[in-house]
Amino acid sequence: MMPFENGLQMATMRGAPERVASESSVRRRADVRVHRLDDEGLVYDPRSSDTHHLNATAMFIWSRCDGLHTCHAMADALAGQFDVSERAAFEHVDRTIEEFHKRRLLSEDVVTTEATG
Amino acid sequence: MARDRTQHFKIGVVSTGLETPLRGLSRRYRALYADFEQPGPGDREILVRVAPSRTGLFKRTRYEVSVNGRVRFEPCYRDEIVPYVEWAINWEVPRVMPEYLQLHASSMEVDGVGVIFPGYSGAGKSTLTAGLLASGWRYLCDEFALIHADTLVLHPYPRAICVKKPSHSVVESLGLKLCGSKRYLKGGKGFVGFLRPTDVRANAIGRSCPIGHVIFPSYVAGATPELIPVSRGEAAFSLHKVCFNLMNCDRLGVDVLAAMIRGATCYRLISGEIGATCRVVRELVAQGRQRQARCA
Repeated sequence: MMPFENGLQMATMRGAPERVASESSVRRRADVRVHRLDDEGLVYDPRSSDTHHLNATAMFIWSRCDGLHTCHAMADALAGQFDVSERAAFEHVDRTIEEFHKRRLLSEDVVTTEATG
Repeated sequence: MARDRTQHFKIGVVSTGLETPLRGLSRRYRALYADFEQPGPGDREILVRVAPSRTGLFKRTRYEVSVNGRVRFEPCYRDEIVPYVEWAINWEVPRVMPEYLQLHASSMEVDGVGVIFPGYSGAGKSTLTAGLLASGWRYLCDEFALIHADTLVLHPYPRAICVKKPSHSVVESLGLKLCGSKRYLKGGKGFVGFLRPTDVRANAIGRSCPIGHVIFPSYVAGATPELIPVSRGEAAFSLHKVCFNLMNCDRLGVDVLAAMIRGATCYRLISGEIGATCRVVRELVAQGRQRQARCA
């Protein structure tokens, strides 16, 4: 199992954290280059020229930042894949997406899904 | 004043030239690179010119070290000039050779497989390189890994190996002899000597080859040598930090790094006593070869 700490590494850090609601989904920026290396990722941001390293869990979440997966859906998938509680998985998804935002790797638009039932 | 004389060298894939009226400098530089001397300038030659100049209130002699027409350094002492000439060339290599991704790493070849040892100054790259050279590996460079951006092949730039004073006795304990008795002052690094790889044996220079292993050395005095596997993602991220031309390579540097690292195994090396450290590294590479042979 992959530990959750040290999800990302990067050369520099900018921006302020933003939180996303559990029923919203986020989309990665289309111009960011990503290389999958085994189950990890090397991400290059052409705007800032920053390079980031995503560990296995961060890469798992990144690959679901497609505007379709809600944070809840990501957490469910993460809990199944890495054998952790849903609560721990959700907190990790929340923290990781916050990091992606801080590093300006996500599109500005957050897609919010209406709660049903 | 003696007339300027230009010497030309083709050191692996790097063409260099030295133009200077200082006969002693010409002689010493030629002593290091006589094996690579050429009758005329090579393709995209990096031309270093060293000339004395008298400036300032007391008209003290300084030495202008310029490379391809730009003054880079002005050392005060003759003993400093050779290291500054080498530094001046190092500055220029990334600019004139954008077809290579250039990492701060020593690089070696063994049985057609390239091994790179990336790290900042003081990580023990040169001493490890000398140790592996003494044990039969072939030398590519002690300062650069030159990786062709399209083919991902590692190329030789077999400069004389720069050995800092604290490592002189280590190198001598390997049965290697530094070139001449002259020692040079290299800024904050203190006194250095140079080891000519071709003095070690005739076939000491490696051939261009693909990279099989990436090993990040870190010298810890008295440590038991140990190799710790690192993921390719972590290795690629560490490599981008020691890249000289990530943004100025013909291809985007991270694309080259990612493509290159997919074919390599990656380790951190805690290095200690040189003999034991070289054994650990040799065993790793030998195991890789055996695995490959079994797969084939």
